[in-house]
Amino acid sequence: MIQRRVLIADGAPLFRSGVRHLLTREGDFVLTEAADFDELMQAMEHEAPEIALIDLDLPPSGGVAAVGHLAAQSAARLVVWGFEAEREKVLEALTAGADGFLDKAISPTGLMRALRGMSRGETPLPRELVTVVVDAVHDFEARDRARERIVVLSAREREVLALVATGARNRQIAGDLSISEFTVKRHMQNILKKLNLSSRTAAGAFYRGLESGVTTEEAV
Amino acid sequence: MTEGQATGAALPVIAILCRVPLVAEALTGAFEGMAEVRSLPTHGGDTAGVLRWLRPDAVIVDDERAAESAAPYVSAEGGLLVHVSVAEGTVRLFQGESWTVADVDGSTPDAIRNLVIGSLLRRVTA
Repeated sequence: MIQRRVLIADGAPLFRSGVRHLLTREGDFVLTEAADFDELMQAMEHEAPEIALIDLDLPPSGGVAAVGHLAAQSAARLVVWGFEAEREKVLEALTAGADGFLDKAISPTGLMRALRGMSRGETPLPRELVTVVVDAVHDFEARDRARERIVVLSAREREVLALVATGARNRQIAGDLSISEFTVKRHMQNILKKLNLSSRTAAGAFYRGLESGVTTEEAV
Repeated sequence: MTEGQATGAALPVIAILCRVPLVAEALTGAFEGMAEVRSLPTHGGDTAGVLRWLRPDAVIVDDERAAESAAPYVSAEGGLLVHVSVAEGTVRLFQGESWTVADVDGSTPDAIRNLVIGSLLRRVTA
């Protein structure tokens, strides 16, 4: 039987021990352990694991930072795991270069299935997080579409739109840009027409969404 | 402890009721050869009923609610109850009628095992 190398990087001995006990019983993986980032780096260098399971709270700076460091320089498949992780944390981990995310409350059977699946190139992701990832992909696509749309605006119109997004009135915008209120109104009409938006409020929301990375259906 | 309450076996019976399966996995490994471990997942079910069925010498839980549910059974039957808080890395011990925080590293399965085995030994030899 080919034994694949797995590394677990976790500050909690309980989890390292749980995985060790499980993998020893199952027999098709060889385990290396790391308790913090330094040990993780050493183990990655000396053991060259195929899969690294990295705790979201790995001391001292967390699993996302560790993945960010490793993703570019390691061929290992990196999986972050944590407890009831928030959407942002999961996306941070995946964006940093993680090949998957697992809940630490996973069953032993589930963990073995995930590890064996990774050996075949699969991406481990709990069912409830699949929706999170799909939503994020939609958000990215919507943001890309919004960025494409804003290209049609002139530099001046973009300046006006940026001020509208802050809640500024026409008089204030005119003052800030040293143009007349009439010109601001004309820019505003052009902005709404070019972006196919119905109101000044929608235009402001569109711009704020673009800045924050969250776009709405109406604004897009 | 010379006879487990449940089976009459030579080893003590330890019930491990965990919400986090890998914690149960770690503790099961730590007790290997020292106790007869009955590991069950807990999802807010009938903890006292499970314990009446298992009749363990000691109970280990990783969930506050399960700890509170198990306390009346342990109090009535005179067993040992240990609550491991995975998030905080602490261990509480229920003895008599109250909880005390144990002076052990709650993130280490061996330390938890030693606490349980030590407490059981003290009760047998008392």
